[in-house]
Amino acid sequence: MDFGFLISAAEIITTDLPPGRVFGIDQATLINIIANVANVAILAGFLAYLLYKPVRTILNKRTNKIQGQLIQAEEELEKATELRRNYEQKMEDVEREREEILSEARKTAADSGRRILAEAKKEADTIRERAAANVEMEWERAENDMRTAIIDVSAVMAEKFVSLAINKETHDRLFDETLSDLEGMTWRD
Amino acid sequence: MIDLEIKNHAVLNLFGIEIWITDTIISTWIIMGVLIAFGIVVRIKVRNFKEVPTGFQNVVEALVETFEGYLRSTIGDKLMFLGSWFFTLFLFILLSNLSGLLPGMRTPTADWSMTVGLALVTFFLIQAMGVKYRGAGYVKDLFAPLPWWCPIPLFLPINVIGELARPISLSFRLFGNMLAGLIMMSLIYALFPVFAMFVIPAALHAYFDLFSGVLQTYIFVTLSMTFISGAAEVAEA
Repeated sequence: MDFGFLISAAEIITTDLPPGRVFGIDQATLINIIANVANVAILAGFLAYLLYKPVRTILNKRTNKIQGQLIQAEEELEKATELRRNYEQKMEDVEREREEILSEARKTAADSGRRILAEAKKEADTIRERAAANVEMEWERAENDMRTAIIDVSAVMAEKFVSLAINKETHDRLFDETLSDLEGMTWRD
Repeated sequence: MIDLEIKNHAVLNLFGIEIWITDTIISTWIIMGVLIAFGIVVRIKVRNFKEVPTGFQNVVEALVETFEGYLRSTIGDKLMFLGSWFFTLFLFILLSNLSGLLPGMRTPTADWSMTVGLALVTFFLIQAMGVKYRGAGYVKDLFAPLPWWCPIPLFLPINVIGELARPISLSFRLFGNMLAGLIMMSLIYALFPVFAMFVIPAALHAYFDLFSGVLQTYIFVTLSMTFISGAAEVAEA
């Protein structure tokens, strides 16, 4: 493109300049306003491209990254919490199962104990009854033995007494009377 | 001696239109050059920006992040697309106000043609955002508190004057403060030339250029943001 027309249109005057001033409202002020706004607008464009937007992009990326990490951390925390909950549930189940097994074992042990006691009692009763029967038998036997012994002793004592108290004649007479009685009884029968 | 007048250094005759190359224009170009150079440095360095910022990166990120926080709290998320304009406006006015500290530089904001130009941009943004977000409601509000269909638009002139007063007040506030500082310093240098060379200037420049400059920058940008967000916000209510 040919920019020659711009060069020919632009003319820079450095001599015979307008006087300086502090404040004024005229065409020159209006043009300066436009020039100043244009300058600041150009500066805004440059700063947005060079400084503000790139730094903001970096800050936003970092913020997003941190937020992503926070979200990930929250998700992992949630997973860990879920795992812990499951673990605790399992531990509770195990504990409950252990309690059930223990309870069952206690119950079984108690039943067995009762049964063994009952059997032992029954056996003891049997033994006691048998022992009582034996005692009874022994008692009867002892009574019989005692009776026999008493009879024997009585007989010996009677014999001794009779031998001391009855003489030959009395003895013979009693003997005869007894024989007579026995003979009489036989006859009657 | 500080010269109060805005001097002309050349006149550019373009298609028959005379453009005065004033102190303001030259100072503006210098400030533009400084900011663009800073921008180029940032643009070059931004490729090597790290995850954890240090040094220069820290300064740049703090600058943008702090400004963005200030912008977001003032105009909200809806108008954040104007961020780069306000960022430029803030940096430009701040450097312009502080440029009076440098020898040979005339504060561009002590020229009404600069401040009114910036205020007019704010004025057009107010109208544009008002119409964009509120449509006809924004125009109807010019008739408030009477309804727009009222046969006698009693409050229309007052509201129009109120709208037009905004760029005027904005521009004259900044211009007046900066020019006042310039005049004060000029008077002090003229009245006490020897004494002012050793003791007084630092404290007075700190007040008239540094303190007043930063404060006026903040006021201009905050008021611009408030006016623009105010024009766009009422629609949400």
